[in-house]
Amino acid sequence: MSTMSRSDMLATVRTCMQATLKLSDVDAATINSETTAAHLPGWTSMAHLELVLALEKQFGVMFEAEEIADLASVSAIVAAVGRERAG
Amino acid sequence: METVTPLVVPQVNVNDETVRLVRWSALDGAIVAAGDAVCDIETTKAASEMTSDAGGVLVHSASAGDQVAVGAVIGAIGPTREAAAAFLAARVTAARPVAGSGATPKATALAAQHGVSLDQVRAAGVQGAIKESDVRRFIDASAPALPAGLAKYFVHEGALPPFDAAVAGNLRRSTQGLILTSVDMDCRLGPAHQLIKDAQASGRMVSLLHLVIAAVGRALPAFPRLTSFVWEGSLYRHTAIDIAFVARSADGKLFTPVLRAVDQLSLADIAKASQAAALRAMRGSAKAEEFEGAAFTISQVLVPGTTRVVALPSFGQSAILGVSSERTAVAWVDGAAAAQPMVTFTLSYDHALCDGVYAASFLAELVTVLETRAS
Repeated sequence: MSTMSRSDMLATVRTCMQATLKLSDVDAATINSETTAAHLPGWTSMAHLELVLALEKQFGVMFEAEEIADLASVSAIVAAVGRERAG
Repeated sequence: METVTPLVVPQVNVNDETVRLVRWSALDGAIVAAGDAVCDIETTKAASEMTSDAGGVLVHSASAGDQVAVGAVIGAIGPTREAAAAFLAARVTAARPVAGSGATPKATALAAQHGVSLDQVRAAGVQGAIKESDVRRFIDASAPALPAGLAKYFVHEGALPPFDAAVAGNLRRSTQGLILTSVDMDCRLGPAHQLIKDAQASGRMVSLLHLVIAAVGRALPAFPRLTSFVWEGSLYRHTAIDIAFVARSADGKLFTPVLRAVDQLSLADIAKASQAAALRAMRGSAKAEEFEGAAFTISQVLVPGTTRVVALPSFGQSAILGVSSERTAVAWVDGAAAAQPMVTFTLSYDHALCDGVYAASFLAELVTVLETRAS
């Protein structure tokens, strides 16, 4: 699998979040590694599932179903994507 | 009779009589929804994806690598694995088109899709071959007649889709035996909101639904009549607090995964297990048993403005909790009026098993858990 820098990964995560979390009112630049579901009202539990499926498709990975509840922050998502791509 | 939809190989290229089944993208026994991709097929000119015409449990009757005839049945989707397998055992041979059988591939496919035996269909053409239009005419003629004078207002669209028919059959069977009534209670969400916000700030997805599942798991053991049901005059009680929840994906797919022994799970376990179960259902990788055996169901409707949700228990259950959308209301808190996030719980239950006081007492306990001991 091709390598991807952390900033490229973050940019792709942002794109997936904007597509699935209905963030039309949110400036993408404000989404950073500190962002959690608590910061974004559109990041609901159902939207979270849609986000996980979009991330899997975009990055060509498959998360463990039992770990997705702990992916409610951008930093956790980027770390999990990195793990899956490396594995 | 349970309705099953066969998975029929389509005519992709006019000149191809067979295609190769390249791979199954939905596993044998997987739950699929209408429109889901289930397998890839390959003709002499191109590869394409086959999708399911119905929702339910998919059972394969052909293997990856097989060369299969156009119009052949390579699987079936039914309300249960057993129903789909029984259908295949009975029909797969009859549905497979045979050279010289006198029916076109499209006619064979349409007949298989509607469970019509080609022996019943008469060909209108002079050459005697049964065409798709012949099968369509037979299906229309077989539809039950509408009351006189009404037929001109309708067009016949065929049988109810198998998955919808299975759900309707389940609910009809369940509610026929119930004396269904309901009771409502409001719940303040201040403490629950704080708990959700704290969890999400630490990177864990926890929602109101997870909190309600946890609270029901705590309250339900003291109300065994709500996990019992009456069948043919006998009383049965579930042996575990297994709770189903209704989830809906962005594209409208409904599913009801079951969490086991919820009374023994922490909130973190419930959040983790419910999201894992919902993800498996959305991926199409959940097994049929993940949707079976619930003692109680929770149905949350998130559409803003929904004030009460009166739901119907599934077969084998006598009660279901409806959860309204959240709203802001004025409540009396610590001696002063204050704007509060609120939700309304509606418990639909069988009056043969419990009365209004029993049902309302359960809701009161649930509200107490959520308002004062949400954790």
